Amino acid sequence: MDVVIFRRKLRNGLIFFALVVGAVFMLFPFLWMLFVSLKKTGHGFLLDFAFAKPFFANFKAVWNNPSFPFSRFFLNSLIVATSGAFLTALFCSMGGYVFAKKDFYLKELVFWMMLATLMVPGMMYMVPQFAIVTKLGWINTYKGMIIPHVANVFGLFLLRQHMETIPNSLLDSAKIDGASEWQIFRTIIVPLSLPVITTVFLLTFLFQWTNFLWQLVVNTPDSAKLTLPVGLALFKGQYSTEWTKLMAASAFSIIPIAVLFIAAQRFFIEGLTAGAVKE
Amino acid sequence: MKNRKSKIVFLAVFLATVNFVSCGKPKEKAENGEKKIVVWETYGNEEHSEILKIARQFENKNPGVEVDIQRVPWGGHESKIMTAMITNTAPDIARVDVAFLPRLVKSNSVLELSRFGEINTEDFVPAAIESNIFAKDGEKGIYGLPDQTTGVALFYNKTLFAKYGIKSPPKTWKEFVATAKKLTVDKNGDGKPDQFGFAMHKDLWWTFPFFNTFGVRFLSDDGKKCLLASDAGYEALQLKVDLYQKYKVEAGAWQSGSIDPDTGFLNGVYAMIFSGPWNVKRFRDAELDFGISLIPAGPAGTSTNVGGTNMVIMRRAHYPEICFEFLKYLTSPEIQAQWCQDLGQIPVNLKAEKLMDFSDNKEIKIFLEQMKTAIPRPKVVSYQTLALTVNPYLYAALAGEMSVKKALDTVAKKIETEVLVER
Amino acid sequence: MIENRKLRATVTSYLFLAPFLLVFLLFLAWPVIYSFYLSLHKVCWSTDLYNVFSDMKLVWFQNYKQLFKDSHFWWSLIVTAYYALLTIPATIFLGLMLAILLNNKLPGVSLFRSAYFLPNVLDILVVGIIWTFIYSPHYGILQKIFNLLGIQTFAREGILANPRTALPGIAIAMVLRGAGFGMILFLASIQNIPKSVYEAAEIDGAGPWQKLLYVTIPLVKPIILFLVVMGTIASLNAFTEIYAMTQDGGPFAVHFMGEIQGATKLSGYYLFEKWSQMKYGYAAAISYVLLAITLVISIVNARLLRRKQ
Repeated sequence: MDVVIFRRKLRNGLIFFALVVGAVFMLFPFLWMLFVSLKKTGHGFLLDFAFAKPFFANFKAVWNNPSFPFSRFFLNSLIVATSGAFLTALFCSMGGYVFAKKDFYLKELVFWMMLATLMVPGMMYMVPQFAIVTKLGWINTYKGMIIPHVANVFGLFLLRQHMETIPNSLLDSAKIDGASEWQIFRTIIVPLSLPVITTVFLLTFLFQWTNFLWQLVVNTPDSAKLTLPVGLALFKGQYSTEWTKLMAASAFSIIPIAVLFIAAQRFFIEGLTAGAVKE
Repeated sequence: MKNRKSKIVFLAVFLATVNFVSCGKPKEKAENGEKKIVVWETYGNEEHSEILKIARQFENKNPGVEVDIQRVPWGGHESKIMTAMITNTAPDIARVDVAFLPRLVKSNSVLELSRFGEINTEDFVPAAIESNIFAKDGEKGIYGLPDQTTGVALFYNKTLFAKYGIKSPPKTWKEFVATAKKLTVDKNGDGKPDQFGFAMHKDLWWTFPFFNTFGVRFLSDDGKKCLLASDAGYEALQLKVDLYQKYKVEAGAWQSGSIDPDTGFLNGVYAMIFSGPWNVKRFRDAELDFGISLIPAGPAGTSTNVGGTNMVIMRRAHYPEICFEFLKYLTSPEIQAQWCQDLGQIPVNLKAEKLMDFSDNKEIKIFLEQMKTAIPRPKVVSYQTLALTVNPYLYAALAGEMSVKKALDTVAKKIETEVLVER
Repeated sequence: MIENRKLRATVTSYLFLAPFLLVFLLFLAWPVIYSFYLSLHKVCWSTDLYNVFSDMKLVWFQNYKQLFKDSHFWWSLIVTAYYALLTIPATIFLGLMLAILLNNKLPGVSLFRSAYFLPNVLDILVVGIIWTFIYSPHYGILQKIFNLLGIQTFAREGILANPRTALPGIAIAMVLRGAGFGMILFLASIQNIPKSVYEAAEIDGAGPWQKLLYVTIPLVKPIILFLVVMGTIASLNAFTEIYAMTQDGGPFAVHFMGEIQGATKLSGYYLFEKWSQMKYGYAAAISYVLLAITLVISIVNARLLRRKQ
């Protein structure tokens, strides 16, 4: 008996050890970023303990920088990423539903056309998209930053794959009960696909949060809608970059979002598991 | 369930905010009949505050004029200007890299300036104004005014020089190699140096000082032949390669993913680097004891490269005359003296030199001297294409993958067929 | 009757699809079609930059012809495929391993989950710069560790300047950044596998390895496929990591088709280079050839996907 308990303990201990090693490895760049952000100018890459004086000097320099209104940038990023992710998840779910469960004219053709656009490198879209955004007068608006990216074919593909696994019998019985298409979508499809919808939300959020070039291009330099990645780019100079300050600036942009993700993680994980259990 | 509901409410609020804010203020045109010019600049933080100050001074002198200074990140400024032109949202004045100008001129995107008023080209640093002069349809014109000019000189760490008993900075390449050897030291005794005499970049722009001190001519007068594959060219590049491969005094800073020369110099692990005025303040702030001297002389004496930016008036500028006045003001001796005094840079206007007090800025004097020997970059339509063509071969030569002769022979041919003629 | 039903379904379907389709047609389909038009044109030196698209020169298939002779393009395809091979299996393997380890009842599991996921929110540029510091010759922490172990292979040129290790070095950085995402998906999927399935396997005498091979992996196959598709797209679009870690796609030390090639110049980066030189037509031609190639791959992929179901 004791041997069994001992072996289990040993096994758990080993797993725990492996997890710690893994965590150290994966978090290393993150911790290193914090380390660099605290160092003296120019000591960024050196393995020494020459820290900035005062300790948070780099953070202070970034925070007090008139070209880096952090809270403004942060709010803009949050608005763009959240609403972008929400709209993407919504549109993709609606589209995924009909592709998975309906039989309609031109279905496969439309679907393949969509998949094909997935394979075109993102850069090719920029100039034509920019021309359209300008025509629509969406320069310097959140719309201009968000809408061009909400038709996420990849998300649609993912949701279609998942929704095809939802048994038709569920839908049929709802129809017999007199539910409308929208009600079926709202009360059956969405709850059962929540894990995948969450995934799409998460992916789009991260994409929008780090999107630099597009957000630079659709805003004029005096725009009030500039986001964090654009703000960060101001720290990369023409001739030289102050790594320690750049790292402090990016720590500013990452820490809040990391906290947000850890806090929201419960919801994501629950969403991912809960939805699937009901299947 | 409750959780989900609150989430949806949260999102709805966000969406409402989006619409509310984005419907906000309409884009204002210049209020109360003021004439407004928009300037896109790519300056750093300190420079940005300085240009704002200058714009306010200009407005005070010219009532009824508003100068709207807008800052664009340096990275991506070219694509930004290009996309802005396509959609007609480009500014009136733009600050552009010297190397971007030929394309703008060739495509008629910027205005010729001498028709707005007189420009005394001899007032300017020759290499700087030269980069704005282009012949079009057989007629020479000035298509921009330099707002900043730079070139590199030799930076050396005085503390390290004193420590290894070196009295003065090297004057010739021969002295340079000897000095660099003394400064390349294995400090922790593991058999590998961890302090280096020199550190350099590989790119073409950073190789010009080598070519120029050997008197290499890059292009023939008619601009149709590349003369890089000459004895002088081989010698110049061979020296650069030898610093790393043969003398082993260079840190390998030119390689992908290495510690760049500036950073290493700042930490006292690279004793000498080539750098420009933009780093003076930064190094001084880091309390580094350093000196600046001329680039070591080769067969053709000392010389350097030319970098910097020009201010151009875009073709569709609203008030080109006012734009021109602003550029004249920006490059006037007084303003240049003020700018360079505050920021420790090289004035583009030679007359500013007399107005400046060099007691705090001795370095600038050396840069001014060095700039007089500077040789402008070859005027190709796309400098970027030229650099992208040459850089891989410079890398291959430095890495010992290719002989210097073969690298330059190949690259000269490539330049003639891919860069000098439109493909 | 059937016709009528299908017609009605079509109306409902397109209503549901409307918001997506509208954005899709405007912002994705049109640019793709337009890109083809673009690929038949050339932006000349004298092209009016204020009217680039109406002032281009029609060159028909010249861009494509040039492309087929362009050794840099073919090389970029090879490197991209190599990069995909380096990153995709490793990301999947690491994600799965972490998920299996985390599927045990242990203290601090949720803490680990967060820790592994965290790197995903880091900006790629920042991750790239940090790894450059870690990898740097002479001074980087990795070299210091190598010194202790007596490894001198990378002492002079470092990981990123060695043409053999540059791309794997970038891949390691990106795998460690991305594995946490796969881990979350695998974890959710594994936790949904009913206990009874494993118990049945145990009764049949399956050991831990057999359980992994015959129970877990088949059940998480959709996630594996998902990560493969995602990884392929990421490899095709890879740009920032190259820019951050090897600046211009170097080290330039590989000979291929009689030219010097950059060891990390992926097609996404090559495309960017052409694009930033305003060679819009050429860039469009590159993306069309890429499209053709990946379309073939994805059709095969989708066939496989369907068969598996």
